[in-house]
Amino acid sequence: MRVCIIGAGVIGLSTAQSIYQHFHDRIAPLTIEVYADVFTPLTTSDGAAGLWQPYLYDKGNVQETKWNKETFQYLLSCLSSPDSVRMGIFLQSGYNLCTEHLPDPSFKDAVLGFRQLTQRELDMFPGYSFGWFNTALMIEGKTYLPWLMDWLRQRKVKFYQRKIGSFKELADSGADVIINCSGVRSGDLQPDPELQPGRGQIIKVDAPWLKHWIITHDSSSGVYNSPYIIPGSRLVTVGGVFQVGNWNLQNCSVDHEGIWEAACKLEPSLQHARIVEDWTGLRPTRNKVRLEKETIRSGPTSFEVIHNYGHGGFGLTIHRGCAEEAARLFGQILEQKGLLAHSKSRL
Amino acid sequence: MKRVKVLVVGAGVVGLSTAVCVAETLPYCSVTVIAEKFSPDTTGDGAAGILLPKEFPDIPLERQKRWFKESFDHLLAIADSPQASDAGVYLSSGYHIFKDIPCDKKPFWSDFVLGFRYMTDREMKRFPNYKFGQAFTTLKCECLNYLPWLEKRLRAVGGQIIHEKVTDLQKLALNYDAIMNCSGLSSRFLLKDEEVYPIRGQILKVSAPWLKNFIRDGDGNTYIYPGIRYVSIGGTRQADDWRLEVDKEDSKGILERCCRLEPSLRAAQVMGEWVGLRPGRANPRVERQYLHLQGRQVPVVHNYGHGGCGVTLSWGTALDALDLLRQSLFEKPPQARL
Repeated sequence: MRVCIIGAGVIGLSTAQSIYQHFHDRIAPLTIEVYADVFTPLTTSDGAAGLWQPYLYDKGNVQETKWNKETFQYLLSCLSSPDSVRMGIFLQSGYNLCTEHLPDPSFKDAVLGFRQLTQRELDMFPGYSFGWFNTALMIEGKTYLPWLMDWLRQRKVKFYQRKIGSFKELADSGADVIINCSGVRSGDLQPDPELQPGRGQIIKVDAPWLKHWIITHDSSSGVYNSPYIIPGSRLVTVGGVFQVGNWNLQNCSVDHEGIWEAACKLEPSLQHARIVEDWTGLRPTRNKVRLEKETIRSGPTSFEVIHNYGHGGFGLTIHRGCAEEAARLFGQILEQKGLLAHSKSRL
Repeated sequence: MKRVKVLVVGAGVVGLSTAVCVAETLPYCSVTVIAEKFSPDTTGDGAAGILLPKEFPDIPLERQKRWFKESFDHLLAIADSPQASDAGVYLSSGYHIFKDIPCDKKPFWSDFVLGFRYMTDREMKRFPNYKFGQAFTTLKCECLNYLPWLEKRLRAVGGQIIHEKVTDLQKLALNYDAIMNCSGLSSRFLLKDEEVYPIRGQILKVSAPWLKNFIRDGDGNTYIYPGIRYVSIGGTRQADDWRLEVDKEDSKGILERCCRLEPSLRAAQVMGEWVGLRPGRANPRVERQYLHLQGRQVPVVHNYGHGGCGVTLSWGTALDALDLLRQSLFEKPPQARL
């Protein structure tokens, strides 16, 4: 069984991990290969601040809330392992600030110590009248991805730096199952009008006295289009913009000015922080995550594709839940093909 | 009109806070700080600087509340301003955990910190040997930044600095109209106050920039305080121990206890060790007395003996000391000089 995964961001790598974990001892041989044109530290996952936090409301996508929660629980359990630092996982508390009273967010039970902000706390943030405090997890792509690649390499997963032109290309070369984790450019492999880039630009600054993340929510500007400040293990990530339909990967100085001005108003101490660099990434935005199987006919034959893309600005937040689901779908394919050994004997 | 000459003895966090309070509030005073040690060599410079008071037995609770509230509010305003990074003052959230449920689950200061609550069961799961915990947001005030910043503030209003060890208050009182004694542990020698004694504390400075929240064991002997440049882990509380040298056994004990609370510390690099002597006393002494010299009555306002709560109570006790000074100058104005 030869599995080819397209994409080496957090989704591609974690899907490879889940498939290995569930099936390496149930089917032999199991060859897992990862194909991508960019690897860490150049993927979208690498630039993200790495705060585990879904969008405030799931709009009925209860599956996504479940996958987010699974990911949080998984990362929390990794915290106590000796690997936690090398995985780039740590706890950090912070503030979600709103300009109006809002219903409790989807993640209130997943995070630790969720509560409303007191008036004294709100007084620290003029312009915001309501909000929440909780302790969440950080998962830094720049550390997590290399750790994942190491983990996979040790288990003989192979990596190929190559831009894949089509699913057929891989199928023709002998892939049994293809897993499409190609993120924002999945449209190149199969047109998807629901998939759009959600351009984000961030400023990385040196401000080591900041120990809390601050995310603001302004319903008039939309998600991530209002300032956020997320301290990391080395630098602080300051954002944000969320420009749907904008494919420009270059840093834009107008965005920089806007982000910086808003962030300094939110956190006055930033005024004396040293700016290190800007970075731009394209969130793979979709109205919901595409996580499903598809059988693609190619002449007389057909091959299986599992799609796992469209995670918007919450890829790191949801990755494990989705990877496990993708592995489950993979298991279904194996069963259909009669490849899985069953515990009950067959007559 | 000649200005009233005020001498502040001591340039630690209490001395400089007191000097700034007087210099900024009483324009008719000229303030001079005299001390042997300045930042980075004061006791406060090695302290983590987390604002967390303890309850003293003999001071009225209202006064202790006022000391802490005023210190907290003063530093919160700095943390919320563009000066925060210069002054080294910022918010710090974390957990205060107890192996046994304390009698006082909601201490007097719980209203003055931010967001005080009890820890949830899920949060306590990380600490299997602990039965109860408090979660809140307080402030961290790092003297390595704060003291030079206070000094700048003092100089901006004309304050003067003298680098000299004080051995004789009476002699100094000849040349000044009032003295503020903020000499910390040295009050033991300067005033022969035997109630002041050292409480030795040792910490390790480790590099663990992924740690953002503090953890403190309610017994006060084990704590992890993430700072600007490093994480301070500790500690010890050795009464009447004057040793300023690092004790390797203490270091071992600190590392062991802290790694048990926060396993990721095993990956941390130790950058250094530090020892400080807290100016211990049953209660801080914030009161006024008079020195009688050559027909003059020179007020001496004492502000020392803060133990491990120097940073925590510095501004509130400085304001109290300022009040005592103001009262003295009003009750017994210094004689006009020819």
